[in-house]
Amino acid sequence: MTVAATTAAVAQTAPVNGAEPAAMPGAPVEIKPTRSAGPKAPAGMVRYGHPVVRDGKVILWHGAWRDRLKSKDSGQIDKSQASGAKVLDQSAAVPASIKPSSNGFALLADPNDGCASRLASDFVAAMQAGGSEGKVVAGGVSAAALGAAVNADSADLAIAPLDALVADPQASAVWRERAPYIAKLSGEPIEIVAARDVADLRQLAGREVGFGVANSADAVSAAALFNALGVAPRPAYEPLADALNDLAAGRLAAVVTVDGRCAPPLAQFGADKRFHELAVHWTPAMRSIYAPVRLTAKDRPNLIDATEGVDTVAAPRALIALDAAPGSPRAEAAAALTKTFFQGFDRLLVPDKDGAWRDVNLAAEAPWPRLRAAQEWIDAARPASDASLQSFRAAARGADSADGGPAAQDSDRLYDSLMQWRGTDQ
Amino acid sequence: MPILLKSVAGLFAGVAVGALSLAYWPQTQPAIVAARPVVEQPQGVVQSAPPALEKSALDKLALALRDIQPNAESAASGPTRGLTLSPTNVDFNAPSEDARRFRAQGLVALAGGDVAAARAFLERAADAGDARALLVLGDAYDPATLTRLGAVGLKGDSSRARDYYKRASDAGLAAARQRIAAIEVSQ
Repeated sequence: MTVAATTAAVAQTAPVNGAEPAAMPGAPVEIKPTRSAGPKAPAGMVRYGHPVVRDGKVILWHGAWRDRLKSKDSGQIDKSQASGAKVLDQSAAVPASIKPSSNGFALLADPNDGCASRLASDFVAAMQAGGSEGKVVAGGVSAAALGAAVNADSADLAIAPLDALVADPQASAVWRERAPYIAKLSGEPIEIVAARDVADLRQLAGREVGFGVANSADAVSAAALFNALGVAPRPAYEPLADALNDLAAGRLAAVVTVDGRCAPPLAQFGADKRFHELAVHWTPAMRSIYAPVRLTAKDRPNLIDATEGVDTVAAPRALIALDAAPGSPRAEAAAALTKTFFQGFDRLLVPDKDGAWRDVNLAAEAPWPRLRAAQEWIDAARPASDASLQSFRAAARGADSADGGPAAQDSDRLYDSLMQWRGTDQ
Repeated sequence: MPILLKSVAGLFAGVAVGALSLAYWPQTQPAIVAARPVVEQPQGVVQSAPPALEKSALDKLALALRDIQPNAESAASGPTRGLTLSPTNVDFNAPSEDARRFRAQGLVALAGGDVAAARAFLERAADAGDARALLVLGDAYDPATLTRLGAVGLKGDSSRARDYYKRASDAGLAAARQRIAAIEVSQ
């Protein structure tokens, strides 16, 4: 078993918050090798041009007579890939050179997440304009699905929900070092739609709730949120449109989505005023992952009364590098892509690109390790911070590290620190 | 009879081989999300330096400080992406503990460069009656502040910054007037 295969096996034993199916049926559907690494072939066989994966395992090889030359490119064991994975078959042969192939990079995005798909499409277009060929591959983004993508050798980068990775100890253990983020992207509101007789999301405990397609961003963010809230509904995995139909028919108690901004079925749902958005109240315990959001009738005219606002939280997303542990050849390859992305970032700030790019600060910090090359590029790009800015940041870190996070009494001290840094002369 | 048996056996063997071939045939469904072409010229991420203040600018600054006009362009004209602007009928004299906690959380996020999260927390604080949150919200949109903060790629929005500063000024924060004047000078 190779590093990649081992990773997938570990990942598949780590369902997100226990709410995900253990098997990973949602492996990326565009399976095209982007590098020459792969599982060790059985005796007399060589790796097929397109690894064929079923339930997370490579199941098809072809005879060595079909490509004897390729069988010779299996080289040295790359031990640098071992970091972060406890169970490794050191006898597995992994080529020494692991870089994006001439086919270009592959970016994994959830096809059920319209916003993520749009961001991914924008990203690839901008990268191509910068000279880096690539493509978007559609697939799940749960921890298990990321493992399948690595196993299938099908993606170099991913647009992934950070909440599931950060909040789930098992996912975090597997991916924390091996899937560093390149940039934190804008979060999207988590929306929970229910019949009007459901007033509080705690009423959903034990009831069937639509979580979107298994392994999707909807599914992992819904699982992470309910786990954080201590509420345990019964997940039902199906596409949003089907889930809304089931909600309307009374077969589901609620439907959860993080793709409301880009989901036409939700925009059209609820014209009969039988349904509404449930509030998710932000608490300090959520501070490292979620930010508060308030939805209004302007966002959901069918689901929110004109005079009301509904509080919820935003699920964070990030662009991550897959299987790019520090010092590994794949981290080097991701560094090259990062440079192209950062240098051409302004291409994403034009009107025909998703407006969410305009809210992205490439230097924004996330509660997750960043790809070293990305951090180095950012450090070099921004001006040196003066003493007063460093003092403001130190005060913020001090408040954030306290039990329960920053409190009301920290607000004035932090404000004064900001004013001292910012001054009034700019 | 042996010929018949061989034929039957051969038929079964053929069916079996065919079934196995179908079961293990490579599954390569294409599912590439089409990438839109990009035609604009490459641009680097450039940090803009704070504007230098010359005499004419200083005159403008003094004028602006004397007479700050309300911004005719509402911040609500921009995309809110789920966020709402603070109501104008809030009493900003005594922010609640919740409001101050949200402001503190927003300041922590701002210091960490998570400007999007900072804006979200500060919106909530402003909604709950915190005038200082309005001023910090202005900073979170002010291109000059973002540049000095070390934001990369994020451009800010002078119009929205000015609107929040104006509301902070209306709520009694003198520093907000100076921020507005600085924006006037830079434009």
